[in-house]
Amino acid sequence: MKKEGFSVDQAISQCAFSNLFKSGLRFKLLFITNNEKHKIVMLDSQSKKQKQVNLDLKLNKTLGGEHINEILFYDIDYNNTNEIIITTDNGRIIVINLNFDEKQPLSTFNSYNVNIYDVFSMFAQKIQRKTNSKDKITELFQGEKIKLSPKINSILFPNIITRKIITIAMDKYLINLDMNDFSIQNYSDLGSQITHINQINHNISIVTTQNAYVLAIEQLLSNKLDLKTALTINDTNITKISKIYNDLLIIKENSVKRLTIKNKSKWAYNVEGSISADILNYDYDYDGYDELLIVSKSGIIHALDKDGKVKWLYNTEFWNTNMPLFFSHKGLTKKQLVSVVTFDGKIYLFKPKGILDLNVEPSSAVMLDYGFYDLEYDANQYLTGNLIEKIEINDTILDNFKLDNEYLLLVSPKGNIYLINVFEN
Amino acid sequence: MKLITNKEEIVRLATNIDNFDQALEGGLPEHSVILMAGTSGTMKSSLCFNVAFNEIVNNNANAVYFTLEQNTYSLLNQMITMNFDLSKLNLVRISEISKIDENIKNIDSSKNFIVADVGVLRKEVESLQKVKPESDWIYVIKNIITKLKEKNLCDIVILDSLSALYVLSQFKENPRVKLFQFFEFLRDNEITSLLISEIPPNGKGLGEFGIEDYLADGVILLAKNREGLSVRREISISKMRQTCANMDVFILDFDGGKFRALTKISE
Amino acid sequence: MSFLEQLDVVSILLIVISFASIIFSIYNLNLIRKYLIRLKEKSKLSTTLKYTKYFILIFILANMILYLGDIFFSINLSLWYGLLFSLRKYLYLIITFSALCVVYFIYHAHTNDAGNNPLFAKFENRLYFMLGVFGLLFLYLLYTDIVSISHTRFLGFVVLMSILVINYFVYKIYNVPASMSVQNLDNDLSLLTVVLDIYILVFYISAFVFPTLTSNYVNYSPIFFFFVNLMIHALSKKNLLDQDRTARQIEKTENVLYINHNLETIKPALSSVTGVLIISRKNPQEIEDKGLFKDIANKEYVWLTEATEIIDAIDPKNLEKLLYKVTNFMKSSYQVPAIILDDLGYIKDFNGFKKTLRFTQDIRDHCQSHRIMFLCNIPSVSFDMHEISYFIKDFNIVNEYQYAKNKRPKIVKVKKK
Repeated sequence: MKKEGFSVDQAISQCAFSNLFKSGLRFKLLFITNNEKHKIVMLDSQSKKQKQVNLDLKLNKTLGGEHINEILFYDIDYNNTNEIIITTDNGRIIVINLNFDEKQPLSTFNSYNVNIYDVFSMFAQKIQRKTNSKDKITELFQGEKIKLSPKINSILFPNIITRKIITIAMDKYLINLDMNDFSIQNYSDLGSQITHINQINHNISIVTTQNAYVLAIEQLLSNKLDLKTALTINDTNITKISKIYNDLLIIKENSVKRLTIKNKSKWAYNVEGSISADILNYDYDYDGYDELLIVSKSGIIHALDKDGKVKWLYNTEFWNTNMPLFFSHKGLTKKQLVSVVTFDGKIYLFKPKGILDLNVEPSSAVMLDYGFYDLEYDANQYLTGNLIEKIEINDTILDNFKLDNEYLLLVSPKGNIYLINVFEN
Repeated sequence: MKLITNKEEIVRLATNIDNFDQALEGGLPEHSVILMAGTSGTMKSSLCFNVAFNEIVNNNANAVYFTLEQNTYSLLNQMITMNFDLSKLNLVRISEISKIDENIKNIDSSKNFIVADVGVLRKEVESLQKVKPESDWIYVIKNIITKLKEKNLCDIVILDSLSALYVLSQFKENPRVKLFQFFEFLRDNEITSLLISEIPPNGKGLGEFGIEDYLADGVILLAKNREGLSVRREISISKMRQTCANMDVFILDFDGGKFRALTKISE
Repeated sequence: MSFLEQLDVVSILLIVISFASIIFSIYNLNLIRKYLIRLKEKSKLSTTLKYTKYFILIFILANMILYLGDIFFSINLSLWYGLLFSLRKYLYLIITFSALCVVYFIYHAHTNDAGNNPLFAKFENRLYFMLGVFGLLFLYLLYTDIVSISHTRFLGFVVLMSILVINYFVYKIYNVPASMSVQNLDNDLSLLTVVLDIYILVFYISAFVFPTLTSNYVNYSPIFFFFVNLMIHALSKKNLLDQDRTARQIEKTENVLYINHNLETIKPALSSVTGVLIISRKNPQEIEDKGLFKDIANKEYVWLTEATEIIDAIDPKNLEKLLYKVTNFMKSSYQVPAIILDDLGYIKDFNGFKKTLRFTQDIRDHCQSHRIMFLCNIPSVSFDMHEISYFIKDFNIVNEYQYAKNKRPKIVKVKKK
């Protein structure tokens, strides 16, 4: 197995990935370093150069600093170049151009304070605020003081080029910001703290709130943010919402549920251990139907079909905290495989379809899971993952990315980066 | 586990507490899950270490000590002050997640005292929010046990403590099922397990969920009893399967590097 | 007159006593045989003692013949009586000389392995013994007609005083309590011995006072014989006949509670002990310096003190640890081990009476099961009579040490609350 590796020589706590080209190995990686004075480190795979920005954010929360919530690459200004977007829990959005000069102090970068007091002040009285947009701000109720948590939970970027609006979730409000000056255009009160926004398609986003509401928001082709409740699901502790066909996949800490748009449950599947990684939802065995590959911190990989039936299982025995990846290499022969990595530095490469393992008894821990009752198998048959190869790197794995449908990019918390060609023996 | 034909077939691990082994008909039954329950300062960790030390030195066993909150050096220093001769053990410390396999690979075949410092492992991931660092540590523990067992390096497991494990592994949902699964895992692997449980301040039950003693194979209770100005430690057997145990309360005495269970004189 | 018509109360009594004496003699022969076997096994049999056993045998057999004579006399079998009567002088001569061997035997039985004789070490013990022996030997010589004295009353006086002296000596050295009750006595022979002794005393006192009435029925041999019986029985009771305790048939272990004694006065009871655990509030070094137990090869000390940082010290409140120490001592391989607990009152001060009682009972039980001597000393000032009565049930009590008359301590009776 061909492996390449390099290091940024710093411990990191988060990373983001940008594949600059559709093919080829050129990419950029963003890291947030894991020390008191956090830095953004950007690694260019081609030049192997690193650029660093000191985030003078005093990120140690105990000292009254702010915490980075999310970093990502996004072309926020639609100039065909990604920018680095950082959100903090103190209401700041920092936008950094990829061509930044390391010597530039942070203050010179575009940093937009979504000032909570601006939002707050909107509640104090009826305000009409003149903006660039033609729309007016929705009238607010008057006089009530509300405590706001300034943490920006999510940024939702509209992917329609004409709309230069960023929608952010802050506390219980969905707020539209103008992309030019990040001024508040309008907002909506969803009633309780927003925990997550998922963009399902170009105009439907799913918003989950703490008091168990899941709302579908239809964004119209205007600057106005209309809340259209497509469905309301009373469910608590939803961590993520994804989609499968025309249905929603409600992901909680220990379960996955398929829900129709009319709030009808098609199936539910429980897992041991927390689900902290995204679910791979793809027809990775080319049978014409989407499959789901769910991993959890118990180490067990669950391959389900669209109807929630278990196709195969595999126990990697350590935390799976990264999304499984599907690789399809169309060379002379068609090759597909699925990769699952465990936090303790092991990479498992499977063929998409499972394999019969005769006379194997599942462990007692596996048998006691609820989801397993749907498994149809004879006493002597058991479907297990068809493991092609198990690779070990003596390092922990923070994140994994796919590159060029052939390379697996691994990032460790120590700042080491590994590039593995999954199809090479 | 298999069906025995007579009592003498049960292999027992001596606790190495004078007079207490007689109360246990020779010692703790092998491959049992034993709860060592007591309030703070009742020498639970020291007693578990004492059992493991004795087995390692006298019977070439291997023991793994999962310390979830106390630092490895703090634990070992404590044992040194109690006159345990650590030079008789092969000390191994597991303190990095990525090096678990490497550590295990380099372990000798016998007389190993392996400390899995979960506190240090937690520090490794505490800033990695993506990993959800304060959950699912039970799988790490199981992973280490499985790997050690594959190499026959795990005869005794000590978990310090169950209370910490609950915090680190979301036991609040279905605690009985999860605890049962964990105990069964230990039994299936034919390990003698000593699980340290802190008796909650409200005194209800021997653990946070009040079910630990029902699921365990044996329970040894440790307590502190105030008599006038002096405080004395007490030890007793609350439950022990496969054993016709003496359930009397003994005074636990530690003197000259040796534990003793002294018969209480009633009034 | 037929045989039955000739029997009267006195003669019947004499017959009964004679038969009992014969049975008792056989028992004593057996005891002496065992004792000599033990000595032989341990290669301690001196040349003199080898032949002593034959003289002891002769002594006992000769007495048995005399008893038979008494029986024949009582039932007026003149033929047999006449034969024995003619042999009477020679029998007494034999008895006199073999009695010397018995005396030597008694002396040797009190000598320990180190060759010391603690019993006869004290002058007064020697005095009593010699007086008694001398008196009785003189009596036997009178019977042989080698020595003759005209005054019968004087003779009777000498005999009586000898009996009294010997009895006093026996009871004193074996610490039979002055206020003994029937329950404290051995269940088999002590009672018989004492009853017969009382009979002898009463008989000879009356013989002294009313010589004419009982002159025909005077038989002096039972005196010395019962004296020997008592000695031998006392020997067996005190485990001096059997140095190897594992072979001995023990009915009760030696649990003795001494009242108002101290280590010095308890020490004589340890003459055959080879290993001792001494629990005391005194500094072990102080005890060592006094040389109290220098004869005992193996000594272990427990110092009862609250200063527990001292090595081998135990807090008097920590009875559990003390009990543990005792049970540990019992696992030792000393041939004749003993445990001394000095000053139980000190323990009572820290733990209260009930716990102290339980504690001593626990030790007693352990000692009994391991057949170990347990000697415990309590000062009477620390316990009232009601509390002491609890101990009497479980222990053999030795009352306060008999000092000379003018030094005799008083028992202070504490009023029961």
